[in-house]
Amino acid sequence: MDSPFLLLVLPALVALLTASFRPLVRKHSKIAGLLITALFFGGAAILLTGISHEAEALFSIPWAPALGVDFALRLTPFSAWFGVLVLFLGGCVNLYACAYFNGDARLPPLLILLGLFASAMLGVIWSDNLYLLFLFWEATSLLSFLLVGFHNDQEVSRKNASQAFLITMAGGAALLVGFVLLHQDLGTASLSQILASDIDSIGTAAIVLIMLGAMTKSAQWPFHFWLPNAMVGPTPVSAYLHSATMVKAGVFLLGTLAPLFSQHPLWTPALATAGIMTVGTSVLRGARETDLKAVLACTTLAALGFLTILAGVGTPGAMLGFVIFLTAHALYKAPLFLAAGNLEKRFGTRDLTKLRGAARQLPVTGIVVVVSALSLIGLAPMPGFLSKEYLLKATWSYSPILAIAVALSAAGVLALGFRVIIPLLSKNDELSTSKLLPRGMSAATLIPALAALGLVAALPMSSHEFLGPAASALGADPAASYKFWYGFTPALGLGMGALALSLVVTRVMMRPTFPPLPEAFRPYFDRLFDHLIATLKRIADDVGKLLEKGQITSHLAVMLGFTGTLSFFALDLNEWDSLALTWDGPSLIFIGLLPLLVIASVVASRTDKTLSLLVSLGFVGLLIALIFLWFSAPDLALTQLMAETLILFLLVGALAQAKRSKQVEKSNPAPFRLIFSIFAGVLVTLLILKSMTLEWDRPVSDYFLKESKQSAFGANVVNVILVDFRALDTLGEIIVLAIAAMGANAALGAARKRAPLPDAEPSSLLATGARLVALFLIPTILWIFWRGHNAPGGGFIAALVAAGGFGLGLLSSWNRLTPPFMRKCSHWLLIAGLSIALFSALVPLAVGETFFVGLWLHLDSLHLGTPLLFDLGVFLTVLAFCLNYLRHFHLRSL
Amino acid sequence: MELLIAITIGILIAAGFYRLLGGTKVDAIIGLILLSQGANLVILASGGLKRNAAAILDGTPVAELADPLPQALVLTAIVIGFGILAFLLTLLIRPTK
Amino acid sequence: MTPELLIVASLLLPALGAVLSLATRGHAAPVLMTAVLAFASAVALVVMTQNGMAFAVHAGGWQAPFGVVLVVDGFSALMLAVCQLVFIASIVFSMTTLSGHFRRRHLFPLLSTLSLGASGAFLTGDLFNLYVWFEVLLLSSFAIMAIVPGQEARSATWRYVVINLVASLLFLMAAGLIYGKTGTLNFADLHLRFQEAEGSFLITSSAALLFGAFGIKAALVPLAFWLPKAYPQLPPALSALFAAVLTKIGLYAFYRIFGMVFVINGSFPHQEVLFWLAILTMVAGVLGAVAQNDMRRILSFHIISQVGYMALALALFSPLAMAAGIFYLVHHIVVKGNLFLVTGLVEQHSGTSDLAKVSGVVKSSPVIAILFAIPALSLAGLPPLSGFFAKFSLLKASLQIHHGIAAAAIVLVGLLTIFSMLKIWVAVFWGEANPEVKSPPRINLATSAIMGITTIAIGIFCGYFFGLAESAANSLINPAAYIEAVLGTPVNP
Repeated sequence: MDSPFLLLVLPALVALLTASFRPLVRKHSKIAGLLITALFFGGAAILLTGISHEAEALFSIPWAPALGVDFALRLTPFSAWFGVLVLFLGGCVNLYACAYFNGDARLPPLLILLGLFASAMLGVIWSDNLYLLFLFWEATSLLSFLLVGFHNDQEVSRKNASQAFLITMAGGAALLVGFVLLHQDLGTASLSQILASDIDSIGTAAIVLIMLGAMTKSAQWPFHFWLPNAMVGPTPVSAYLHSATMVKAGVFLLGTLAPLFSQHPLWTPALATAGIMTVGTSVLRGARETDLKAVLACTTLAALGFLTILAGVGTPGAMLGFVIFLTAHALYKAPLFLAAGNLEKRFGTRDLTKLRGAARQLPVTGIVVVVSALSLIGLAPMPGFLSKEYLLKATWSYSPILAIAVALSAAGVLALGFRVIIPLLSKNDELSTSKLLPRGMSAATLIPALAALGLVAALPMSSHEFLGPAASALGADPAASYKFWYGFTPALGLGMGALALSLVVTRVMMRPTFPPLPEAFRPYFDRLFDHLIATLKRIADDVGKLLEKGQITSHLAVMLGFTGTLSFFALDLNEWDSLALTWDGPSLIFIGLLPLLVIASVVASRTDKTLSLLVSLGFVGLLIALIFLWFSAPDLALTQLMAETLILFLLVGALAQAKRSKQVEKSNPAPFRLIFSIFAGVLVTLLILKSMTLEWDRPVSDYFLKESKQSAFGANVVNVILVDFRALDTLGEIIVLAIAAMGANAALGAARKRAPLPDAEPSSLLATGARLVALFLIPTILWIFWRGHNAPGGGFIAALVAAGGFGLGLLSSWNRLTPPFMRKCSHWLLIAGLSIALFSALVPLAVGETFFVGLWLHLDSLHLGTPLLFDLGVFLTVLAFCLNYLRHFHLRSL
Repeated sequence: MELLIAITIGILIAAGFYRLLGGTKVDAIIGLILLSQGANLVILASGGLKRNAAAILDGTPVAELADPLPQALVLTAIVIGFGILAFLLTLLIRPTK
Repeated sequence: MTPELLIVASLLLPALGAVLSLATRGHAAPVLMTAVLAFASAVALVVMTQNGMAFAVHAGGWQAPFGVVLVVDGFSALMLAVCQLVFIASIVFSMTTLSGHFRRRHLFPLLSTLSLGASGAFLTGDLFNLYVWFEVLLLSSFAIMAIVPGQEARSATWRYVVINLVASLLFLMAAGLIYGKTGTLNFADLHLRFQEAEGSFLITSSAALLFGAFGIKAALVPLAFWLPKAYPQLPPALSALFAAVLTKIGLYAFYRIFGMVFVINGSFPHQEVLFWLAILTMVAGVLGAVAQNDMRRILSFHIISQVGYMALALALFSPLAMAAGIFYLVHHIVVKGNLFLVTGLVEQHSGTSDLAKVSGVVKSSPVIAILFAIPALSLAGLPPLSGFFAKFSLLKASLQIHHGIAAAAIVLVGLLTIFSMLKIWVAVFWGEANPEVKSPPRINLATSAIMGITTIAIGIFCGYFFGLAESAANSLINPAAYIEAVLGTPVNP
């Protein structure tokens, strides 16, 4: 077939169809089951035909080439054979699920997840790009989580699914890092190219990490404990994921990489050890379990252990064993799980002690149990026998010691098999059922067992057509094939010995006095895992509190301390150009301004009395304005004065309110504050000095001074900078004021009501005086506004003066100034101001100029231009802001 | 002179921080007021300070004039600070529900 | 439509939206319309700058570095586009979930000014102008936070405001000091001057102040104390915007200023410090998240952790790392915004997002479950979603320069992120379903779905998007086109 890769999406498409037709699927579960199964089987058949013909088929689309990620697939005889198993067993499981959950609302989600999972699994085995493999790997972990936790209204399902998820995710992370390192070492992310590379260029870190990743997925020691716990999932899930497919992903990866990686000295010892340990612990655990599914899970663990050992050994002979073991296990384990499900459905329990003789009651299930269990035990002529023999053969030729260890542990596993089969087949008259199983369930259970029998019945053909090519794709000898009889080999002897030993072990296990697994017992690693999570939560709790709790001042202290320290250490105290310190001689500033400023600021920093606070702050502001004036900044001085006045006005109201609400808060201890603030002050002083010492030329300012009159038609350079050169700054500035105006409404509400007037009549002197002042104010404001472009003044100062006028009106209780009036005024002034400002910025675009360019109309020596319009916008916006605040604060302070 | 100015500004900033770390809401506001004024002075001071040389083009040789750019920056900073401080005060006077 | 017009449009459309909304009694419609237009113009800019081109608008017609210049390169364009997307989503959600109380208090004009501040920050090429737009942005966020009623919200607002104001003051001082030392405020000009003088040592101490200022805004640890208290108080429609956009602007400033302007000889001041803080931030943030029991709080702590990732990318400062960082920024803005929106959906559905009180949502609303799963898995780094490529490229970048600690931190923090997402899923979505549930409005579900689709698309078309990120990173590392667009003179490398 041209593109077998389309089969990758087949299960996903099935899932999609199921998702679209959920009610139909639920109603006609049996038909849906048959359809789905047919599709899966069809896919498997198509793959089957293509196995020996294609050496290797490739398919690739670039995805993120800069990162080495490509959507690249490859099909080798082995991955095709594995794909057959995935699809074949997928079909059986789907059929089973449809029968098991017949008419249940939970069926469609289950089918969707199973379908998606099958596609993901195919993706894992068919990926040629490392990262694509990782993608599908993670997908299988995620889907497994959802499937294991299918009955998520039960606490134990949620817990165990989460556990499995976390462990496989951690393994996935290790895998990714390993892949990145591998990619870096070899320069390619393509598996086919990697497998053709030289082992020496690969670093140990990559290999170790990849091993760890695979080991978590395939539940190898010490990451084995999640697998038995995952049995809380529904039976079809356990049968599919945790016997045939998902857990095999890990060993699949190990097997694929084995031909190359086994040349590394660490590979075989590590994997062999892990495998043996896994088998050992699984036997110990399985011996004490009474839940049938749990025992089966332990045998799965053991099987994975053996597969790990085979991948670890990595010789051609081992790869031969790998393929047959994988196949045989899938074909006997899945039906065993399904049979367990059958038994549970009919007898209501999975407890082996209560299922004595159960297999006799259900004929089909009984036969399947026998056949599959014999395969597990490794009796000829089952496929299980072949897997055992080839396993022992491969390990013997590698290392006899290893083979003996394998045989001994295998004895335990075989004993587990006996332990399952014997009770189920024993005679028990108490147990009976008259109900038959749904046919779908029986069929689904039977089919894989039949397939296993078919495989060995047609052994020469199946070996030649499928198993052989699959094995040789992994590195086995192409000429080798699978036979039952090799003569009296050591492997045979070991096998026999293991069988014999297992009978003994079984007798021991089956004694009534053999202690079963206590209810509350969770194995060591399980408890370790729980303990780890608990510790994590404790640490997290502490960290969370650290990041959040605490006084604002301590937080500020930390933040500022950090910044200050960073800045301080960056100050190169040695590299200091000599300070061009000038001394102008005693002048006003030294005698008056600076010391007064110092005093005022210190007072402001310490006082608690409202009056001294206001006075000292007022002084600070005033002195700073004077300093501005002294240092040639008249506009600044004016602005500072006006702004200061208004802030103080607002502050009065605010302080009064704060006093009324009597907020009790802690103060920080004084010494700490003192040290901290002194440090900050010193730092700032040094920073200022440092910047004063550097004398770069100032082309920007020079340009302003030169062009201000010529191109911008203004003599007040500061004003010209504000409304022309750097008008964008000013635009932002008035938007800030607009936001502040809105912010007052946001914080305080509309404040529509008017507070009751004070009893006393407003002084008529004040009223008349106020009107007079207002009269003079209007031309003053206009004058300030107009002259701004060429002399100190400008829109902002004019607006503040106007605001002062309104303030005066408020104080003299001018009747017009009701809160609704002020609200409307400020609202529309704001809109007008912003609109005019934006207009003046955008209108040049209409005449083809750049944004915010000044457009001028020259009438003799009078220059009218858009910057002036912009200044008007500034004026209106500032006024609106002031009015709104006057409104809010005036009400409050009454 | 530069040294004295720098020290004065440093003291102003120190006073601001001292107040800011005081703990109450009023402390924070006063501290921020002082600090923002200090920051404005920092900008002006780093730009270089000249006496009697307002940046008005009325015939004085350009080279003697003070640097207008820091002044413009400080003006913008004053206005922005003004707006923000006013907003901050509204947070203080909110009626507690 | 020339790039220059688009730049002006991107900046001024939000301003227009604010004014129009104010004039129509706080209606959302003008804001929404201008936002959509602004998004369109941003996308156009992304396309125009995708091959490393840069365009500039010299405001007022004054040449740089004399006037203020607005510049767009690949990086700015990407940030503009993706922030506008979240902004639109937030407006839609606000329209349907926030009561009249919010509208009366100017929520929508303020949202528009917030967008304006963000756009201004992305587009400006001048240090002081950046300060101004930051203030626009911040004050808008202050005012919006002030609208939220409740005592806890108020104290959170106070804390948020004071801390950010201190940061602004640091920024202001630093800008002044830097002008004092260099005589210019223009980014391109500053960069060139440092190259000439062969040293940014002059400004390292002032750069430290900027580090503190941006660090506070970006929520780097130990400068992040304001975030865990503030964000959970906001309704999800708004926290989506805040979480997605505000901290990223702090990061943008880091990238632009430390990663481009202050770079001399392949490194920038305080790079080591940034590296260690990034690691600390990543780890502390996710640990904090693990400890929480409420969706809003978990996601808020996550922001801190994810900021660490992006800061790490900058600190590594290799071409791949920078590209990874920019890609991460884009991915994260979409994903984080979406996660908060989904939290809003859960709250509309079940009344609360407290992990102890909600359960079984996967049964009562599979749609919400899927809408959660997409951004959650993306954040956790599962392929083929955008988050995987973001973390993966960063991992690659770390391993490329043999930075084991960085790689280990990335992986470890990623696992912990998965752990915390798992916690949400198991508590909220699994379990017994609650019969008393309400269905959220369809438009909200659709909005979240669109963002989810964007996340998927960024992942699937990773080649294209990562290419954009690479070109954006290149424009930072080799800013020749940027400088030429601003200063007009071709720069010889």
